[in-house]
Amino acid sequence: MKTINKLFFFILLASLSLVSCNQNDFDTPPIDVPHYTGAPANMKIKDLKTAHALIIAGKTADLIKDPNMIISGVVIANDKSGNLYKKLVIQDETGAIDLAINQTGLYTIYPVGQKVFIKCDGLYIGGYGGQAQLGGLYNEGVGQMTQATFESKVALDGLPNKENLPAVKELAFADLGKTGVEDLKGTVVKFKGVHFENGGKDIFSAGTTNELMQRNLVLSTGEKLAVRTSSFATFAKMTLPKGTGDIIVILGSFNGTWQLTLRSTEDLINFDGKDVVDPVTPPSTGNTKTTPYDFAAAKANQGKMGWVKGYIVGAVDGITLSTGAKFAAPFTGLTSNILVAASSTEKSTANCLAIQLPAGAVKDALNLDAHADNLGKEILFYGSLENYFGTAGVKNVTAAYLAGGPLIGNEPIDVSGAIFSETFAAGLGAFKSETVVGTAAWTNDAKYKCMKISGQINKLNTDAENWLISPAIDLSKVKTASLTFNHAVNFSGNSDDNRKAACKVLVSTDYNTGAPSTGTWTEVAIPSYPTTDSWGFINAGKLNLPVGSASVHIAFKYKSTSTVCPAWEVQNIVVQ
Amino acid sequence: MKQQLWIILVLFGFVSGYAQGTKLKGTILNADTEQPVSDAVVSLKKQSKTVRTNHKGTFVFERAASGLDVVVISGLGILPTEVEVTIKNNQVTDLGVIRVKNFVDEMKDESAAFTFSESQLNEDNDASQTISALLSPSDDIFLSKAGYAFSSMRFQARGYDSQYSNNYINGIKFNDRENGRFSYGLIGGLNDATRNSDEVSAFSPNRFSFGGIGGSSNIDMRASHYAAGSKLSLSACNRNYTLRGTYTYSTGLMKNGWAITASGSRRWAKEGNIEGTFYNAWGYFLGIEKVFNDKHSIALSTWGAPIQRAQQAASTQEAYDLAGSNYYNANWGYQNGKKRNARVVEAYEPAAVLSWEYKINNKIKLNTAVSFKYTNYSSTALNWYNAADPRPDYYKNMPSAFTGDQRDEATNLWKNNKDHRQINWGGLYQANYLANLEGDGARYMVEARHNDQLAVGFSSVLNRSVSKNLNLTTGIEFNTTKGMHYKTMDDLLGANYFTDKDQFAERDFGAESSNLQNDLDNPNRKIGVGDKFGYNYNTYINTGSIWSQGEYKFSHIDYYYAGKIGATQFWREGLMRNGRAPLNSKGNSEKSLFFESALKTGTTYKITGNHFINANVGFENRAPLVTNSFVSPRIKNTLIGDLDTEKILSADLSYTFNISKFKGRVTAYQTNFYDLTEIDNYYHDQAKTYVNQVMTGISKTHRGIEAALAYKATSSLTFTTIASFAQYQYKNRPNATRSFENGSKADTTEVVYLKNFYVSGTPQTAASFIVDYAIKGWFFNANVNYYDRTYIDFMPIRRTAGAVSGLAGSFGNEVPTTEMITQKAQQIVEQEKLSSGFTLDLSIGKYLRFRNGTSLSLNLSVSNVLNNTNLRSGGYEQSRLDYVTHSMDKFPNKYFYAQGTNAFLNIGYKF
Repeated sequence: MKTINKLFFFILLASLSLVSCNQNDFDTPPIDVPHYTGAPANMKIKDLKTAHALIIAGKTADLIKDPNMIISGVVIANDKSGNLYKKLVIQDETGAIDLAINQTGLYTIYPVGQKVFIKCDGLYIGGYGGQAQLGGLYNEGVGQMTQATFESKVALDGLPNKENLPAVKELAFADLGKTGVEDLKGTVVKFKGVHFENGGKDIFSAGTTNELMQRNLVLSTGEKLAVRTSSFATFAKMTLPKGTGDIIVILGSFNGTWQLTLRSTEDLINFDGKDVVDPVTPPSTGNTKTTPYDFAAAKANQGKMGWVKGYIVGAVDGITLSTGAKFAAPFTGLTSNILVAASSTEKSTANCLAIQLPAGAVKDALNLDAHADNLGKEILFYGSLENYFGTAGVKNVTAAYLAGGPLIGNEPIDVSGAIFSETFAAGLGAFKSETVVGTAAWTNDAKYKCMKISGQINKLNTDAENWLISPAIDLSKVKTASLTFNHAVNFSGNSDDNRKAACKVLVSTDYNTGAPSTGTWTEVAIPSYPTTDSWGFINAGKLNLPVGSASVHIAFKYKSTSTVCPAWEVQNIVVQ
Repeated sequence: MKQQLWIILVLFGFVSGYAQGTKLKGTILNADTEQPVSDAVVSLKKQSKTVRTNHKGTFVFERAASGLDVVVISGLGILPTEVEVTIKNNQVTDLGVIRVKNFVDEMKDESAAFTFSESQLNEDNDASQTISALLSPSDDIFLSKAGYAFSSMRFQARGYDSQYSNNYINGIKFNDRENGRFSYGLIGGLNDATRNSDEVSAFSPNRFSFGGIGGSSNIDMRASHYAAGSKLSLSACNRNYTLRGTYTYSTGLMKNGWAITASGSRRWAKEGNIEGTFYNAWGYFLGIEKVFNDKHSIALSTWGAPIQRAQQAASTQEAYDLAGSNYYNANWGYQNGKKRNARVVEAYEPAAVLSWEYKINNKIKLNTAVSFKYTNYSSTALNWYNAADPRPDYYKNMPSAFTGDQRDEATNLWKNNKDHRQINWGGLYQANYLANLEGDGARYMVEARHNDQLAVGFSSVLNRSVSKNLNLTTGIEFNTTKGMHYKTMDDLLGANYFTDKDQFAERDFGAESSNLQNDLDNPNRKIGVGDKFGYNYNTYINTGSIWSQGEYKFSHIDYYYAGKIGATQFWREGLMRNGRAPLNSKGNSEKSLFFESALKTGTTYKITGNHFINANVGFENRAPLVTNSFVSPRIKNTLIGDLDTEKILSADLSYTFNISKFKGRVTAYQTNFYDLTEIDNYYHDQAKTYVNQVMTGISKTHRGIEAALAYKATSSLTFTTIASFAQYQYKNRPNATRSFENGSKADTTEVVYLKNFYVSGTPQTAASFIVDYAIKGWFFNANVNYYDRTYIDFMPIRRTAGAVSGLAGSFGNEVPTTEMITQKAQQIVEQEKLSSGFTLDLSIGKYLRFRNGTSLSLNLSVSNVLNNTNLRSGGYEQSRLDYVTHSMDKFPNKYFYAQGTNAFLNIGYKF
């Protein structure tokens, strides 16, 4: 009996041991070395872009129907660092194009140096701010294609290899105005001897939601170009390199403005860490209303604020000056810019300044669509002299006199006799943003040179209260003091009550630092609020301030609710 | 120690007394065959005495205590039977012939208890490594039937979490002290070795423990308590596993006083009923006992059940519909043509109990035991770094994430391309190979999350029969447990290394920040296969308690009281200095100490011998579980702020009757819980990090009615109906503390609006109609089961003020009416009730006894005969919430489905 028992036991064990199974038995798959055996590429990227140039410049997309069209290229940039999002850039010997794909982690399949062939049939081509892009259809324009679509169109050839990469072209600022620069759009280029403004101090990109932050790169020749970095980039929170060095960037443009995108910090080469002495800037010929810049001086003084005088000669339609300049009516739809030259009959773009018209009174009064008769008129205006449409230009025009007529907009404020002033052109200065409720915060808008706030977060109106508080201002030695500033209010539902409820100025003589609730505040009514919702700045009027205290704090108090949630912009604060 | 025990003895009035020459005997015959039943276990309920029948079916208790008692008869193939007896003092009481029925329910045990839901575990919940098997006291019609009939729907008696059931082995508690629950994996497959079990319902007084509101069981694994001989059983089924074999051999108690019992078990499936799952389990048991004399015996029992099994994933209905099956499993994919599952559990918990039984005299008995358990538990999962989510049913891969043509394209792929809806292992390897070319670390990997544990326990129980009316029991328990929690690299999938840092912190703090470091003392450490990484911490728990119980029995009334006091101390020890909490992660946390107490009392009034009224009430004050006590245990030592003991107040009232052919019970019960703590761990979409959300101060009420009625139409035909109608609800608005693992935000506390939400995980309405028919060694059984009011496991985050604020902006350009906003808010906070359902189960068995004394049993049970594949057995809400549209369609609930028709065939041979 016992023998039988044992026998059974062993039979059981033996039979069951045979049906063993182990998860670790899996073979490691071999590396897949793809080898492209399909038809050769029959379309150059440059030719593809040229064939669809008008579409790329606009807002619609073309469906590529040629069943045999194949392009090939090498991946020169991808989403590895997170600075590009759902995007690859490929380049052949003629040019580069963006591929928009609705997938993250693309770099794990398409590393830099990977050679690909793409069957274009069924894809859409269009432009994003004028930058050529292949993808799918989105709201009649070009958007992301699905990964499944992309995978059905793309074929890999070989393993990624850095030797596949095209040579990086070295550029100087002057090259950006030359013909042929179009072909470099989207490619990776190199600038030598550059430095960052606030290098060694600022970080590449603040913020936690996916937003782009612009930093100024100063070229060896003194011009500035914008480097834009996503807050999702792995290097976003790193400090801008200090000193002078070389940089490799993707050369992009958005609606006519050059913008540079860094692939990774490996593309920052040999920054020396030394303090930078800004190159000598060209002398100014005059910078006041009475002695304005002329065409040549305006071109030579890019990067400054100032008055410019000239004649309105046309406007730009599209994204480049060379193809879009118009010098005669009709100017249908051309509301956001004008061309100004030294002569009222100038027809050469090389002799024109491109002038950006910001929304509001300036745009309303000057644009050629609404006022074709402005053509040829003399104009004196104030703004920020900077690159526009790849050429010398003026942006953010805030004041203008047309043919000796009345003031359009607001004249720049003379701060020479002021007790305290802050333009907010380059940051919030000594002001502090104090959050009381919610997550909305005052942020600086470098482009429109103001501080702005909105309680709308991720498209949702939220309850928010945030105070923008000035440093202590000494008003103990003056008999009277007043505050002036410019502001704009948008999205208030065109309601005066809403504007007044959300946007207030308060003053305190006992506040020191920290939460606003630690001080006693008195509201000072703002005399003038904008009367329509827009981004157009108006002068808020004169607000009388209490005198006698050596420590007066001024606060711009913003308060939004889920129903009343305007956006408020404030600039050019002067206490005198 | 002994001195203390004697003090307790004196306290409870133990006085020595001895009865001479009181004997009890009887003979057991099989009711169908009139053959004697040998090797049946016969015990006296009040006296903890056990004897066995001889080959003539006769048993004798040589020294019994006089008075009213109950003879309990159990054994292989027979229905457990109880006979009331009045044992006369100093006389031989002869019960004569007792006829017992063949036992058909055995096969249900075999097929149901341990198999039904092992693969259906919530993937994010480590605690669910334990499954819940219902305790089924055999003397209770409701519970003994509910255990089998409701198993496919995860019925939990009175809705209690299994941490409220106490599970003892050889008199020592084996509940996991970290999560409170008993791990059935501990004894997986050892069905024969764990068959001798004393199971008692909620308040019933018992002789091994204070008890618990979820009932208590004591599995007897002492070697001498097994019938001598061999038992071989082989099973085939189409459930988690497909084959099972068990062999048990026992010497019985030999003349030299030794008894040895050994059992081995194997469970296996190349692929279980769910595609892509496998099952590979072993089990062993070895028991050695030496009976020295009438007074002393020492037993050593040791066992273990190593297992490797692959898991099933819950998916959304969208995924199930597209895959064409409610049993679609997203956890696997082909690798070199073989199915590979990403989520594999490996567990092995060797355990041992050394117990000493000391019969001080005929009326006083001391049972002392020490236990040891070492748990090795790991569960693997895919992880990835700065790469696309590889899970095929990730919401961004679903057609619902797209619109227009893109949705059609995705739908087509999902429906018609099987590879598309499974894991693409080849692609993950290729991504890692390309990473190798760039000198980078792994993009994709398989990590193993370990929950190991060392537990040592001590227990001593002294039982004293003071008089024929009074029995006193007192006991002490100690346990010290060390839990070890860490991750290891299981498979780098072809990559060269992985860097140990938190990618979720990287986005918020930048690549250079020390916040990224999981192990600040070894920053940017390169991890290879087998290395620990991510987190590594221990928890220590020391518990001790002392309890005492008095049972009084009189002819018309019984009553009991019991009390317990104890203390629990625990703390965390961090083994890594985490970059998100550099000053508060390594080393010991503050030590928390909680004093515990419990009281219970109850009475049974015997209206007549056939009608009983029973009432019980109890109060318990217990320490919070260590798993619920730390805000972010993987990161830091921070304890929850307002940590307090749980309070439980419970009462029930029953009427039991036994009139000729009818037998039944009706019970009304209510249990109130106060100051409970619950923790959820999930990925937070907005903050882009893992979040721990701990709710404290939760109140719950469980109340309901249980009813059972059995009608014995003939001696071989019985109809039984059981029903449970209950209401398990949250009753207040607890506070929840949210902790972001990437450290991007400070810990925040908010109110969760939970009042009158339902407790999830069990049907709150369940009923079953059961027919048992047995004739000439054949057994037939049919169950029709009905379930309703199972509620989905909800996410607290959807019931906060934040979840329903800003709804006005979520209608796009439309200006919503108040009604629309209210409706949307309703959709967000609503708790889904799963639809009701019916199942039909059938079973058939044959029991054969051969002339040479061997016996053969054959059982086939078929569950869900009608193949109802639309029966949701459970589900949970996703933690993600779309804060822009506030639409519940973007992150719909995930479900598990009860298995369709499934069968279990078992052949048992005893020789």
